Amino acid sequence: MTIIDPEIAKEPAEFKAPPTEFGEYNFPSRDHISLYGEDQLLHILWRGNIFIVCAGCFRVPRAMKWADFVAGVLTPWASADPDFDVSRVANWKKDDTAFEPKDDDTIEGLGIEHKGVISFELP
Amino acid sequence: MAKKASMRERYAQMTRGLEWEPTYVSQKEVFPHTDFEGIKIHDWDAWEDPFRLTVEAYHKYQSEKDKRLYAVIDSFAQGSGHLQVTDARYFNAVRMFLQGVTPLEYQAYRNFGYLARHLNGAGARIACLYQCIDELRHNQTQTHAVSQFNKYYDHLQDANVMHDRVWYLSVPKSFFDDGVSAGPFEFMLAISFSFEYFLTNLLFVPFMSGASFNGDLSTMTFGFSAQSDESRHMTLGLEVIKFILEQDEDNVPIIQDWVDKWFWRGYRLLTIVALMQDYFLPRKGMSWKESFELYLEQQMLEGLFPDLEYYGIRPPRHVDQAIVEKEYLSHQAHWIFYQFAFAGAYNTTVPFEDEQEWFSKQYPETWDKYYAPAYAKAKEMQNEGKRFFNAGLPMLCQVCQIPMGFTEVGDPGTQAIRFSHYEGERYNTCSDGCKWIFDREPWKYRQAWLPVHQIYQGNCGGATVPEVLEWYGINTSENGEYFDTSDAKNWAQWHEPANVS
Repeated sequence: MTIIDPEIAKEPAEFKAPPTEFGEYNFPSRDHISLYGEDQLLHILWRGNIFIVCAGCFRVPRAMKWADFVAGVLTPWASADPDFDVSRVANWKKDDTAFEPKDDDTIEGLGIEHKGVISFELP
Repeated sequence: MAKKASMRERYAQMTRGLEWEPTYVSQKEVFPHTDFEGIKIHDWDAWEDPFRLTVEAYHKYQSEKDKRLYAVIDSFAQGSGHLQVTDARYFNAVRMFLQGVTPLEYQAYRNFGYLARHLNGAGARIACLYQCIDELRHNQTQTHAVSQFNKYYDHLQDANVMHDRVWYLSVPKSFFDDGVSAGPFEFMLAISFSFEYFLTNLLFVPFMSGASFNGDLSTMTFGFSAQSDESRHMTLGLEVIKFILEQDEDNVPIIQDWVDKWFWRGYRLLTIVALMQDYFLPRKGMSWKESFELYLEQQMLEGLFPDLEYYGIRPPRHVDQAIVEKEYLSHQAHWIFYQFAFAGAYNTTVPFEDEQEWFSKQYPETWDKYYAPAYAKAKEMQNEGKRFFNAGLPMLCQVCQIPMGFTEVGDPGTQAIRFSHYEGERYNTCSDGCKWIFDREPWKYRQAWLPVHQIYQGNCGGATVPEVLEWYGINTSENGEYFDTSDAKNWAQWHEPANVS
């Protein structure tokens, strides 16, 4: 049976202003980057490997060098899966966009946003 | 001598008959909260009371039920009934219920108390008053039904503290926080309709029949005792939506929006039930998939929604995705719980062989291909003395707060990530449903208390996992791998054959 017309499902939400009768309903983010000092949050996803069930979340210095990030953050996390092999890591993406980080790049220099997602594969 | 009033007359006199029209102040001053959401009610007296109870009759019925319930709880406890359950792994189901659901009863009690004061109509207020007392009673009776296990099994202490602090419990907590911080009509739609009417069978029936099937008479009897209350709540839920829809045509699109939002919120919350039902019940009854087909697809989509179509309400947005996910939801949930068990007030282990055969039969499209290989690898690691745990903290959905282990719909091998930007900041969501909910009210969800982000801000007891677990109130020698816990060791010892030589 057809549950729902696919065209209706795609219909965009109507945005409404927050109610103002009792004041403005608007609260600050609990995760704004300013709450993390010189650091930021970022997520790493091992694409196509559901053994590690979801992306990991990490707090890292924005000035951290890519090489240090791979050695000190990514590798210990991904090594929970015994099939991980850092020498085979390839096909980096920032969300859906491919990118090629170099060892000396920093997290900030690579344009990885606060709470952004970077991902890799082991082809 | 005056004739004794009939039940119906007594109800009319003792509930609506006590209502009066304010003359010193306006209706708006007495009931300031019932128009800002845009819902228009023209005639509060059109509210039909499904149960027509007086306060006196209500208390008489409830106290009778309590007497019977406590008699069973006492006799079960005195007979060391806990030794009769199928396996100590079963208590993970009880933990989920006590930590995740029982505190929600308390939240519901608080907000129905608010509604019992703030709705304009006497009929609606009295219905909410009874539900308010019911919810408090459920919180208490659930606590009592389960408390006898506390001295034998771990993680049954401090459920309220855990509910406020522990990562996976932020899933049910944030669901209700979302409801109680909405207006009165949205709360009623969220809780009375979506939760109590639309989804409650998927919550209560699996837990209670699971308890019965696994020998836990105490929890099962609580379920029976609550059942007549739940059916009253379900009837109220249906009355709520029909009443609002009949009052004004302008209410229809607002209600549709809430049906869409609260279906997906509730469905994501039930992920915990799917997990419990398929994995934490050693003796299996109905699978999550079968329950979903019976209670959601048949009873709700084929039974309820054709009726609501008359009012211009269509089935909830994204329900088509939920239907596809029935093939793997419980497996994705348990795989999350399996690898993060080092940080929870529960324990997990690789499903036993007979369970795996059952999964293979119940979920032929997904089990053998995706989950059997994962557990086989985990088992191999465990045999080598390296029990598999995730080595980090999970990415969380900004709306449902579940670790982002969900996948693209129909493709269990590809993790799904959605995100939105609001006022320059990025927010991640797990699915089209949660993203749609975020985008409707980004100003609301950006204040979400996401456990992982709070840990990284240093707000959860410290910078290391042991410090956080201490702040959670979790005994770290009792979580993680089931076979390393004293639950497993005690259970084996308690069930050793008596030495009669």
